[in-house]
This record gives sequence, C-alpha cells and structure tokens, in this order.
Amino acid sequence: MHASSDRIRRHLALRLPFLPTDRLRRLMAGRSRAGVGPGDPPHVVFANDRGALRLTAADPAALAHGLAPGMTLADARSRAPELMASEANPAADARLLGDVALWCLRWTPLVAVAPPDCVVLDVTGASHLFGGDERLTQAAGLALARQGLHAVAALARTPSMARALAAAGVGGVLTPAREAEVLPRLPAAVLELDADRTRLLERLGLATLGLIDAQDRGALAARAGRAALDRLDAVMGRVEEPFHSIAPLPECLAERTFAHPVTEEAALLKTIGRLAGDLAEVLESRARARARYEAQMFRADGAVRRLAVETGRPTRDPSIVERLFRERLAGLADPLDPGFGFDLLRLVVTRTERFDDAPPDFAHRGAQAEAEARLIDALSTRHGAGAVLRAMPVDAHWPERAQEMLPAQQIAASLEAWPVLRAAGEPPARPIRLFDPPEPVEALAEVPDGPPARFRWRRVLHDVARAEGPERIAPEWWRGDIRARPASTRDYFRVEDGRGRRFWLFREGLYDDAAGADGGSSPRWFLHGVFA
Amino acid sequence: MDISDTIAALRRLAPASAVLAPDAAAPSLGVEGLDDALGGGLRMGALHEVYAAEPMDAAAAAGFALGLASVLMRTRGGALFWLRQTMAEREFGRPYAPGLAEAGVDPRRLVVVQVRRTDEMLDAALQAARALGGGVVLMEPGARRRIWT
Repeated sequence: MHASSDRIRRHLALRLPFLPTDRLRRLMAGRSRAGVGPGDPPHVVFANDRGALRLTAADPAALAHGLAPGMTLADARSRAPELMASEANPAADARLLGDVALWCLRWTPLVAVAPPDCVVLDVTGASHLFGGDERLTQAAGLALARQGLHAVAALARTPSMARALAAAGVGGVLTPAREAEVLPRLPAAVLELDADRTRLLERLGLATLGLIDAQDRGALAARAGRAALDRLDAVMGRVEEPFHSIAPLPECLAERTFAHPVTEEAALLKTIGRLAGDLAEVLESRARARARYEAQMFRADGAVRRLAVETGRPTRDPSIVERLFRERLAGLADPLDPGFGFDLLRLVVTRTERFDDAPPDFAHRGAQAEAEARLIDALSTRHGAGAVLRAMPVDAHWPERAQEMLPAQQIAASLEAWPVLRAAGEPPARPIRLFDPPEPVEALAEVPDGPPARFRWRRVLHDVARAEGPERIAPEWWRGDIRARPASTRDYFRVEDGRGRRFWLFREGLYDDAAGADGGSSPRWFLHGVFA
Repeated sequence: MDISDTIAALRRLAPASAVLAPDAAAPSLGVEGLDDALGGGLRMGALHEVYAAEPMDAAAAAGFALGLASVLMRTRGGALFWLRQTMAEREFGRPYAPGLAEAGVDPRRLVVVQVRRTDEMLDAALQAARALGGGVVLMEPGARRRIWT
C-alpha cells in the first residue's frame, strides 16, 4: 500500500472489448437487447488503412471464425462469407463510452473515461453500499450486459491496475494480498505501449509483467524508454495516480432508487424536493448554502438525464430548489424523455459557498429584495442566466462601452450611482435606447460640420426642427478595441424632428478627414439612439 | 397556458391579490387633467397598456411607460423588471442605462429579462407580478407596450 494514503483505495475498471460491434448491434436491435444470439452472423468493423480495408474490431462470433483486427476485409470475407461488415465510426464509439461513463455515476460520483474502451470508477468507500466489492463488480458487469454491452469488470487498488486486469480479461476482485501473485502473470500487452516498444519487449522475450519487472531498471529504461517503466510502475500500483473524473466531486449528494421506474414529472419533482430536504440538513451542519444543484436521472436502459440549477444567493430551502427544477423542466427545449422510467434519482450539490461569505447586506435585505432574488433565480433557470441581466456602469466615454449587461444572478446591483451627464434644466444628454451597431442614415447638412437639416432613417424622412451639438467623442484607442471597423472620432448631435421625436445622431470622422481623403465624398451619418 | 388565458390571468390578478394593495393611494402623475382622466392617479395593482400611435413613436411610448414606472419607484422600493422580446432589441434598440439614469429611472434597480416568444414573456410577467407584490413589471412585446404596477 502506498504510504501516503491511510486507507486502501479501490477502483473498478469496466472494459468494453467489443464496443464497436456491440454499439452497432444495439442500433440494429434497439437498446436493451442482450448479448449475441446463437444464430447471429459474425460481425466486423473495418476502416480504410492506407488504401486497404482492414478490420478494426470483430465480435465474438467473428473471433470464433478466426477473424481478427488487422486482417483485410477481403480476407475476412473469404473465410466467413456470411460476414456482416460495417464501417468504423470512432466518434460514435467514443460517445457511447462517454454515455456509459455517465451512467456509471449511479455507483459512485467519481468516474473517469479511459479511451478507447474502458471506464474506471473510484469506488473507494462506495462498494459497501452495493454489498461489497464482489457484488458491485458482478452487478456492474451484469448491468452493462443487460444493455447489450460485453464487459469485463475488474476491481483493484489503482486505476491502472484495474484497467490492466480488465485488459487481460481477468475479471473479478483483486485483493491487495493477491497482487504479488496475480500481477506478474499478466501479459506485457496490458502495459498498452506503442507498437515499436511492444515488439521490442516481444523480441527480448519479456512476455509477462513478472519477466519485465525482473530486468535491471536502468537497462530497461535505456532500451524501452522511461515511459515503459512508468507504465509498469502504474500497473503494479507503485505510484499514486491522478484521477480525472468526468464530474466534479460533489459537496454532498442524496439519492433515491425506485423499485418501479418513475415516468411522471410530478413524481420526479416531488422526489427532488424530498432529496433537497435531506441535503438541507447536511448543508446546515456544514454552514454552507449557496449551491449548484444537479439532478441526475438514470434510466434502466443506460440513458442518463442531467439537469442543473443554480441559486444566485444562499438557500437551503427545499421548496425553492424544487421550484427551480420545475422551472428548468418547463424551460426544456426537448422534453425529458423518461423512456420506460427512471430507476435512480440523485441530487448532487457541486458548488457551495459558505453562508458567511454572503454579501454583508444579505441579512438586512427585506422581504421585497428576497422575493426579487427568488424571481431572478426562477427566470434565469427558465430562460438562461444570460437572459436576465443587470446594467453595470463602465468607466468609458465610448457610448457602446459605457454599460455592460451582466447576468443578474451572478452580480448584485452596483452600489455606485450612475453618473448623470445631464446639466440642470437641460434635456437628457444620453438616449434611453441605444442601437448597437449604430444604424446608418442618409443625412443632409446645411453647414459642412453642422447638424443635419434632414435625415432618412428606416425609410422615413425627418426634418430637423432643433439640434444641439456637436459633442465630440474620440475613440478610446488605448483600450485596443477589437471591433472590426476601426473607430474614428464621432460628432454627436441631439436632434428633434418636426413632431417632437428626439434622436441621437453622429457623423463619423472629422469633417475635413472625410472630405479630404475621399476627394469630397460626403461624411457618413449614423443614428445611435432615441430619446424618450 | 394559452396566451389569452395568461392575459386574462394578469388582468384578474389585481383585484384578487391582497399583496398588490389595489386600495393603496394612487400616486399622482402631477399633470392636471391626466390624474382626473385616470380616476385620481395611476391605479396600483393594475395592468396599464401604453400604445404608440405610429411605430416611430415607440420610443416616446417607452419613455412614457418608464416615466410611469419611475413615479411608482419613487413612492416605493423594489426593482423594475423590464421584460422584452429579443426581437425588440433589433427593432427598438437596447435599454441604455446612462440615458435611463438621466430620465429618472435608477439603472441599479433595473433588471432586463429577454425572452424569445410572446407567450414566454406573458408567463414571465405573470410570474413576476405574483412574486413581487411590490415592484414594477414592464413588458415590451413587438410594437405594443404594457406596464404592470
């Protein structure tokens, strides 16, 4: 055992040796169909390898006919005329492996994908929930078999060790006591080295891990490379390995299994509310409150649905969590497809914030502010956090940059008042609505650098009755604006047409520049905003 | 929920809900004649609809609605929820906080909610009106504008 860990870690590797052919058979037969029928023809998967069609995978029936990956398709057909051959689709295989990993979250919150055909579960401390290591290993293998996936399930101390066992086809549980007996007998192939190194080990006659391990380490490193030694140490369980889970480690979770799979949303929501109630007690004891809740719903046939909601401010109230999930369900573009029902529902809290980290004004906010925060949460859950926005002031002169719209859920209202440019007794200096990008208009000015006398916006001609300006705004070149059009100085005018409508117009560029550069062409005008 | 049902529910909500305090004093708009025409001021707990005579006057209508909102926000606390359809952004431009601040609406109390469809906006408005009690909800669909107090 490694000195730095005080308890024995346990990892379960689930290897799917026939992933490509299993995937295709499931496609053809519909999900949930188990294994291979006795009368099924051999099935292989091929890919174009430098002009030749070669097998990349073969199902058990094909193996029994003596077909193996690497063989040409023509060769395979001559040996087994009834052969069924499909083109390889590594992307679809990888997706299926990802789906399997997701589904494996039902056994433990820590699951990693080990391409091309393996998932590894950190079941330390989790296996007793399923009746122990042996039971869990068996159950996992069976569950995948029921989904039509051949699987080798091997449980051992480290991820690499478990994967090596599964790769060698040795299923079951390896207790630490038997490591010294079993591991040396594994074939060299379980190290998963590249072709050159594998051939080298073969040539040296090093067929098993035991033989390799007996070599002088310096000499071995010189011939087979440091990588080979590292792999050997990993498989032998001599190093602490990092574990990259597909899901972050939850703060806490609660789950419920259903003897009869559940299909109705109402029942799911009720269960979510109840689980949130359970979690509230845990969160209470940890003095944590703000959270990202994820509901993971597992279908018996291997599909998983995940929904997440976030609360913008601390809450442990289960009814709020339930309501947010109700919003989330109502806002789904695709309905939650329960199939034949969910048999496991888990509620996971993945990020929490200490209650005392909450903004200081939180405790003093009134019921009204509380109701508003709840409403913001509900609307953000339903329409997306990017749809519920607050305007934040930015210290910038360039009009488009002076405000930034940010998700209301993530920021509190700014404490600083907005600067008001309006002089006393004057009409507003800035419009209530801004067009971004500014809309081009045709304008006619009487004086070259004066306000327009009339302009046409959206096909309507406006005669300017009154005008005020210019207000010159220079681009903030020091900010390194990355907008496509290089900005030039703008002269802004507030104008009013004959019917009292007020607009914010600007002329782009200094008048002399525009006239000079293009040989007297008229300057370009834009409408940037409208006043009330 | 059907759109017409949602609108009907919004209209019904006012007299039915005590938290909306429909009996509370109606704030005066400060314009002679206008208060009388409205029956003594802006009624609370009601749905007010504001229409522009022509599309070009949409900004004026928005300004008027915002003016009503600012009257309400002066007399009571709470946020202004401005619900808009995403198409309104292209059509009318985006709410511009520096200008709103000058027009008397404190941007710090403004929450802009963007939704795609009209029925989503009405649902959100109903939800907001029920949740807030106080507060002001402003809806901006297509060319019409509604204000809920």
